Amino acid sequence: MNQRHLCKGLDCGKEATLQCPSCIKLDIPGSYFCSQTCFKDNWTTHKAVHKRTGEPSGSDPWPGYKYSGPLRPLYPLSPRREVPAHIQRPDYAETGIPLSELSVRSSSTIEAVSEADLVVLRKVCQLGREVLDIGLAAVKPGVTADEIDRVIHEATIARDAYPSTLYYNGYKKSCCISVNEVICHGIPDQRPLQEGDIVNLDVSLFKDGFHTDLNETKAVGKVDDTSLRLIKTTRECLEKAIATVKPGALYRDLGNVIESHAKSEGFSVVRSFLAHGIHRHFHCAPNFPHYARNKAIGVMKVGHVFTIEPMINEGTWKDQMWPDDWTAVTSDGKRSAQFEQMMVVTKTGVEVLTARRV
Amino acid sequence: MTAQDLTNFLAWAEENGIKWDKNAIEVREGKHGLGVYAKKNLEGGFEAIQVPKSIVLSAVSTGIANLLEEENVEGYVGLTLAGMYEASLGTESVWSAYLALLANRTPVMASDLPEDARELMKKCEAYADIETDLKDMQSDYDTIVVPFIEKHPDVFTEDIKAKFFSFENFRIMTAHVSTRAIDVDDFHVSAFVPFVDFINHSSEPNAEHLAHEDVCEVCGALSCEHMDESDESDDEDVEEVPELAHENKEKRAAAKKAAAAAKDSESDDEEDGDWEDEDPENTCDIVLDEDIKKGDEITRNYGPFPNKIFLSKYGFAEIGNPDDTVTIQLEMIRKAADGILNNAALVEERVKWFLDTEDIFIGESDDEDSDEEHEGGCCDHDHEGHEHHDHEHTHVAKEAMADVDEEDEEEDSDDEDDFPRDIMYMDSDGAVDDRILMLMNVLFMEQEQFDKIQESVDVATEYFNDVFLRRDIEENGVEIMEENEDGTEDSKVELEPLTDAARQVRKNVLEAILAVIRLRADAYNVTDKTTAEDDLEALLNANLSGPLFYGGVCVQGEKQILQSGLKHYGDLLAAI
Repeated sequence: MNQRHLCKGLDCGKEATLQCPSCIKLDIPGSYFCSQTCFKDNWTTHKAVHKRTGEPSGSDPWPGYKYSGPLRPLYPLSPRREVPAHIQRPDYAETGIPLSELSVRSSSTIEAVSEADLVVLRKVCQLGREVLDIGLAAVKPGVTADEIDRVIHEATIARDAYPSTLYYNGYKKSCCISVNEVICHGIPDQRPLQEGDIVNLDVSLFKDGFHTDLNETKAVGKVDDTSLRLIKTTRECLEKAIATVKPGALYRDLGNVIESHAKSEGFSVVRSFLAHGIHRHFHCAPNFPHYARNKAIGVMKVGHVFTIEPMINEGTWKDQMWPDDWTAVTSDGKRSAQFEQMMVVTKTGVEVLTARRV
Repeated sequence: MTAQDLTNFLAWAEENGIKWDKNAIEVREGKHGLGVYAKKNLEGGFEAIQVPKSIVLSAVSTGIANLLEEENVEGYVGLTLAGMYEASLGTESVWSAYLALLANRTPVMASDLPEDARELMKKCEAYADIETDLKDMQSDYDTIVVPFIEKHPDVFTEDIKAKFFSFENFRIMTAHVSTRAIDVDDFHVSAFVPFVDFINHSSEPNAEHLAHEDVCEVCGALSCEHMDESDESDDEDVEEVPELAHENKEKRAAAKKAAAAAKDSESDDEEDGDWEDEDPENTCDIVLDEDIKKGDEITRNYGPFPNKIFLSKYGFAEIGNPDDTVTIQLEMIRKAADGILNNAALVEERVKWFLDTEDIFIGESDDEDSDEEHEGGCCDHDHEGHEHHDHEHTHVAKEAMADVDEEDEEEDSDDEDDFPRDIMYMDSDGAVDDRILMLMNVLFMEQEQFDKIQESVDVATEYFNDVFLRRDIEENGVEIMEENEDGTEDSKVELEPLTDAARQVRKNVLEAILAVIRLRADAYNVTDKTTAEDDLEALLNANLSGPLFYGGVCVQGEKQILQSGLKHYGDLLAAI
């Protein structure tokens, strides 16, 4: 195309060859800008152009986007769910920005949670377990992810807790629901679950100043053998990793255990998403990946509280992002499973705070 | 000697993203142990080695980084502990092939020599430095290392302590840190940079080490969410402006993301990649400064260090080191002045005035003299290859981060407050430094002159400027052109001829300098029975190696400086 285009920026008019990516997807022609800076400066006015064609809707909210697998979202998302006023909110509930997390980011120090705080944390973690189990019980063919989000949201506020994901960095729902090739951070939408799907529910609560975070993958009705094996292997990866947790162990060694087991079943380990420390902050130190021979820093000490949350893929380990900038999917469209527990390092080893207590 | 450890290392280096052209350069044994050599003619600008920062070993990248930070273990001890810890993990360590190579090649330091062998070095200043280093090492071990490992018995079990954390282990790893550690950036600070640290020193190097210093102090990336100012829009939602299509910028994880961004990769094979934002430019590079020929060793300049630093910290010394120095104690100057003036009270008065006011003038005489100023401050630190550079911490987003609030700006003029005042220097040509020159003039100037400069800083400044101008023109043969008012260069600046009184002052100054040089020589038993040149020949024929040889180089180098000084100032005195 040899047409000369001029920048759409206010008072600009310089020659421009780059286009707004949303306009490309929405098939809106002519949105040329000379530079990212000019684009940024004019963003607030320019984006109104996208609104003219309406909010994302139907199962094709981003026309032109190349999906890696069969799954499609189904928009529109349901309206924002309310949290009763009496429930304590985390610092990001209004603005989306987790200020307290940012303030501890500059350090490699890993906080050791005191005994007194652990008492509270244990309770919050058990509430998280209850809510997750309630969510899992609601999983059936025909039920939409949005419906499950409602169930989880209501179970959370019924326990006088705040759903940690809600508004965290702008995330709009109360949990993450990840189906089939979605690795993590799937946004609950209107798509009904189908027989043969596998679905991960990732639940997190905030209460009495502490967060909890846990997830499980479940089969929807009858699923194929590979999916069953994937789910089983992922759960085992987590359990094997937990078994090695004790004071003096290195965080970077957990990946060796996980990848070794995943590989033995012919599966791969997702590299882009990390396990994290969690207590007063939703995400804090330590941060470490789940694959082998990584270079995460940190040695375990009594009182360290963190998750382990391996994401194991049927095919490639590589991931890509949907245009909603949250949903992570496998880049070959094959399935992914995940399990997550939260735990504390003890003198003798580990205590899994989110474990199902029989 | 096995080459297997080198082969293993090279395989490991490749696996971990270290890049070099096997057809262009090779690592092999040379005069100073391993070195890097050109396999063919190479041009200036050629990037010989690229090491991603993700594979450097430092106090912030070791497994025990959290412990080191919690206990505030700083500086070389932190790096040494990092090295010892990773070494204790054997093949389980990320750096096992690198550390195995080091284990087979422990540098022989002067401090390794038995006491009687070190005796020979008493004739040079390095001896005292070596003694100090040994004491400091013991002290650091007892007061920092031992309490640290006692505090973490889960990590440092009895068995591990005994095998890997003894004083001997500490001494050896300290030698590695001392001889190899490189200043990388604001995040790692000082680190082991595998492969880059094969490059040996030369005061006339053909390459240099380049690395971006100004990185995020939190995560070490060149650019990241910690450094961005967050975009805030007027909407309720925190919105990010998407990237214009076809722009080739790396997508940054927005502030809303909890996890780190994905790594890009071409191949489907599993790689030992790193989970950090891998920016291809955040590397430590060795880049050629000039064309070199096949067979040349690739070298870089570790820093403008005198031989005593090279010997005590790096385990070698350079013959004819252009940055070599000899220290002159203030006491020697007092003694020499007293010998001429025979007036202790006067000497004291002049010295005191000089020490009290010299800072004002050091700033003034910046132009020609900054090299010597630099030297003055440089030589008294604890070094592990520390090079001076500007620190400019531009700080982070508006979210106030408790720990990283300060903004430091260190100026180029070094450590004006820090350097010990009673130590001065002669440079490798035998010339005394600015401070000695100034002080000498202050000591011997006429009382009338002294009164004048005491009253007015401007008069003093003008006086000293004249002193330095004379030095440059007479002693260094520099031609200074004066600019006319319209900007064109006119004539050479000519010095006014000295008055009789001024000539006497000049004579006294030169005599005092010569006296000081002799005092310094006597203090270290340096005799003129043999010339420095003779000594060098004898040393080269003596078939010594290692620290004994290099100790000899130090001694000879200092003698050379003193000898040159005597000749230089002797000639000037005769010319008056």
